[in-house]
Amino acid sequence: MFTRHVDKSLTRYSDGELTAVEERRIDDHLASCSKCRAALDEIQFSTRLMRQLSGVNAPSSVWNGIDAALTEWRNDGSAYGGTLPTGHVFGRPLRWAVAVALIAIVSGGAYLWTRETTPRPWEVAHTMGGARRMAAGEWVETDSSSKARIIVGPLGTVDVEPGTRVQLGQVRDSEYRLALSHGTISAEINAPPRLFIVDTPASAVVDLGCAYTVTVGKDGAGELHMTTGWAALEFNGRESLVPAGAICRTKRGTGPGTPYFEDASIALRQAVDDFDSGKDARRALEVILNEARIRDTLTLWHLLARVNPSDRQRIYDRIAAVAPLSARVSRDQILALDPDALRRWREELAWKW
Amino acid sequence: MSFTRTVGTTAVAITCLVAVAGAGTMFRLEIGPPIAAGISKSKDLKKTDGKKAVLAVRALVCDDLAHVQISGTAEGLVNGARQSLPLTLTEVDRGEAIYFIAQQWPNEGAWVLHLKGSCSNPKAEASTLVAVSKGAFIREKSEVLREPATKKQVEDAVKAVARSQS
Repeated sequence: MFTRHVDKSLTRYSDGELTAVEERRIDDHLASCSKCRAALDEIQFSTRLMRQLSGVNAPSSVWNGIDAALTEWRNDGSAYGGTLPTGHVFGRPLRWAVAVALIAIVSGGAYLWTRETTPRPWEVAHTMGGARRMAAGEWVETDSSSKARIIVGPLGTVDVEPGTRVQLGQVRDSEYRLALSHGTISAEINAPPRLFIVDTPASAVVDLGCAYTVTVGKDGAGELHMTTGWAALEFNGRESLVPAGAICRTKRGTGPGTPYFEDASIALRQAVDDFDSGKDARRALEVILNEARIRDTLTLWHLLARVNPSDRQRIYDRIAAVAPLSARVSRDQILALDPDALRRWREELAWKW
Repeated sequence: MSFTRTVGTTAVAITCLVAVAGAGTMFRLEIGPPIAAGISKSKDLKKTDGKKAVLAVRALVCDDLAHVQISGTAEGLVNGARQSLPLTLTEVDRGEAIYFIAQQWPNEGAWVLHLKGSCSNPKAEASTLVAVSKGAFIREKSEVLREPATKKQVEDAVKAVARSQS
């Protein structure tokens, strides 16, 4: 009933200064609170803006002027009543140039800031009630017999299936965000990566160039089906990459599970579900290792970072048996979970997916 | 007679084994999802419009990958009419001969991408026939050939895709 907002901790959250427990609490809150998400967006945007500012060296004539003025002041401070002689340091044209530059910087910054933070409406068309503009924070709800379509600016569309509840997030040039409470949506997006994000109670679906369907149950668990391209499911630093033709399940509290291709054997698919839910994980891993085809290196690659070192070695051996390691990465790097080596190996394995 | 037959059978078996072993070490064009080329996470996407990429293609087993030539056409059958469209390949890594192909053909009809590659060292040519549907490629219906595809192979591939859609 009462929501305790987390806006006071967001700066430290953004800077990665919180403990894992605090981070998880804020993640949970952010998943359902558009107000705090908006506050976090503004903090992150300001940080990005600050990072883009670069230092500029003053012209040597300015320094020479300052030196000369300081020397003169030291020699005879009383001549100016003990204050710095500004008129002698900056000539009239230079003073104007500095003033104009300052105004330009401030105006430019203000323009960018306003452009990014001014709320823009979403366009939503209901099969039952025509189209209308809706603001961030509003909910799109369909009953058991109606559908809706959300226009994601120039990026694409999101079809809202019957029995679904979606909250519209902020619309910015740098991000379009929705929160799926429960039900099913199908997104078809054509935009640079990470521009369109769907928050679910268990994970965020980050578009990396794709079309997909995501379903969330009443318990907050979700399932992502990729049609084209690929997307990432993210929660608390855990990430699953899901390419076209693959599925990934996600659970509240634990985040994204292990992705697998829809055409994998029933035994493998069942084993992945068992592994992710911790149900006889040892036996499940045996089944996955036995059942894996070359294409199922998608599943095996994700498991590398989710098992203990001895099982990691077995998974590595299995992948290497069906798709030999390329010269660009070494066994030791993979077993040490070197992020760069894992990425390169994934890119190599993906040629078979 | 029996000895001659044994020698002949052995020779044929050895030839087959050599051919199979050699198939993996011959110049060829490999296809994969765009994720394979790493383009979806690339910051260059805005420039290259890689989001519309349907597939990535790369050359393998060539000593001079930087000078591999890859080109292609989209071969289609739309409402019974045969169409052929030249393809533009977008460079991802020229040194590694990796390109991606965005959709440049209509959504309607049955389409096959006919990709051709040539390697100068060792001198070799290869081709790949890629079945595409709804903005994605269908690996199971694609053929990787260690030589240029014949006209008949291209026509058969288009007809096979058309049949599977009807």
